[in-house]
Amino acid sequence: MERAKRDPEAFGEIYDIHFDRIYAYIYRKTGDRQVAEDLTSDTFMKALANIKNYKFTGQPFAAWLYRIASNVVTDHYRARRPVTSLDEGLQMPATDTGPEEAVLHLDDQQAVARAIQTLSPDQQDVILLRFTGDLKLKEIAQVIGKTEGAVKALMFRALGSLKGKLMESGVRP
Amino acid sequence: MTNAEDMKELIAENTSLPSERRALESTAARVEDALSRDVPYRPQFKAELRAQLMAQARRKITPWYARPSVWGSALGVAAAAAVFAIGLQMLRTDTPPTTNPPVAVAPTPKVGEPPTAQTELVAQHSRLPVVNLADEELVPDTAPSATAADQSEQKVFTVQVRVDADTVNRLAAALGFQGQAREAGSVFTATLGSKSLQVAMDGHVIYEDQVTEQGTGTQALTEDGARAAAQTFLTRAAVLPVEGAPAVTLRGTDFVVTFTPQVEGRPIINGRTTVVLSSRGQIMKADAYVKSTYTLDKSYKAISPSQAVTEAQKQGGGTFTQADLVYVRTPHQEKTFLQPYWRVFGTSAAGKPLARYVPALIPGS
Repeated sequence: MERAKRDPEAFGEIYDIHFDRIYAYIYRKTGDRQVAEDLTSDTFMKALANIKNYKFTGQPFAAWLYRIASNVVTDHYRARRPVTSLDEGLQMPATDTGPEEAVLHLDDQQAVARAIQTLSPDQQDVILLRFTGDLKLKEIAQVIGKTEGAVKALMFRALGSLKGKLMESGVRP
Repeated sequence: MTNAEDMKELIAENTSLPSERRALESTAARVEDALSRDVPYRPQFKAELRAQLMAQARRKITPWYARPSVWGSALGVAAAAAVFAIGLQMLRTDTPPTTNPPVAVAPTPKVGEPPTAQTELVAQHSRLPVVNLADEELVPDTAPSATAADQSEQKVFTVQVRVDADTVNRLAAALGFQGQAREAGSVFTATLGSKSLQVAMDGHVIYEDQVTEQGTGTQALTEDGARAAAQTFLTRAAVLPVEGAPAVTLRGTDFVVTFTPQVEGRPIINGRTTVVLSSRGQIMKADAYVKSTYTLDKSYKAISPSQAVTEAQKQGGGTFTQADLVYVRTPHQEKTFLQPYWRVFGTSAAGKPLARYVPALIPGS
């Protein structure tokens, strides 16, 4: 990481490593490809502008990037209320399943995505950072500026809420 | 602890009912599965953003003690009046570099070493940007003898480079791309299957082929073959320089062929052309600057070699004994300068032979 402060190529390597997950996180938050591209661009530009201020504090670099991404998304919604749907992100799974099974799977995904949309922003964050960002609870706490205990509570409440919403949608838990 | 185990533990901490636990664990698994699916993604976007970031990074990643200063426009105009074209073409194949060190590996970071100390010598120059170069490790006992230089006055050049849609499309066509390159911000991009091409406005070109040819793993290419294949590729590309005697090194099973352009008989350290070939001879990557001419900007006073040695030691420890002059590309806004730097030879604090780069110009000279 120190190298990235001095060497553009090293920053490029960081980008290559983290792009997919940051883009997916932002896409899941916004549900719009164009907006996700714009905000992903903003995120990495801000990371580049601030890379000299980055200090290793025991947390993975990804947590620092997610924090920037989270702030970028928050700023975006402060400026403009969200009107998009997460449905665009739900594609037919590229597996060997037959058409019928694939449709069922798609329905499940749509149901999960819709259920996530009903969560509070903080609950969405802990779910997305956990399952898209693959961050530990302690690292999520750093990203969203809460204690680990608060993150655990948010996660548990989010799972409970998702379970209820999925049942309402006819998806068996 | 895996994701699933972590979730199980969290759920178990918060509910004692087995049926509720199972339902929440199942919910977590469904969420994880749904979120692991691909999201709508435009493949070109990743390459376009990368190219923009790299162009920006080359401008922004400068040492904190040497951020680009505001241009003194009057001074700039006066200096420009004194400019004369020296017409140095980069397309020279018969002049081997005389001061290029036998660099063994790519530049490496000084992990864990203290930040560079601010000093009078390398403080912000009045009008020229400075870039920070990583130390280069050298093969033990092969550090070249430093070349003496008249340190009183050193020339600074501006790089004259033309990057437009025509140039990029010609390059793309020569490399087998079809159609027109896309312009995104300050970067042109072209993609074809596994191949991509990025050309920044400052002339920086990155060509990559992500697909590796399948082979038996045997070394099918020799060093001479790699050198010849790289030269053929660059010649076909037409706008990329093939200058000087190329150095060939092995990186794993790949060959790395490096051409180092020169100005005033001195190597341009961060202006090299690098071609990476697989052991089967496939071009995996090329990193280069399009052919340019250099125009004399102005001469400035430079610090002495002994001052450079002192400065190098301040910049992260180690022991240094000799220095020679090299040139470094220093982009700033829409311009790129070639500035003299002292390449100082010695050993790191850990005892490894290395070269460290120190800006040569005296601030305000």
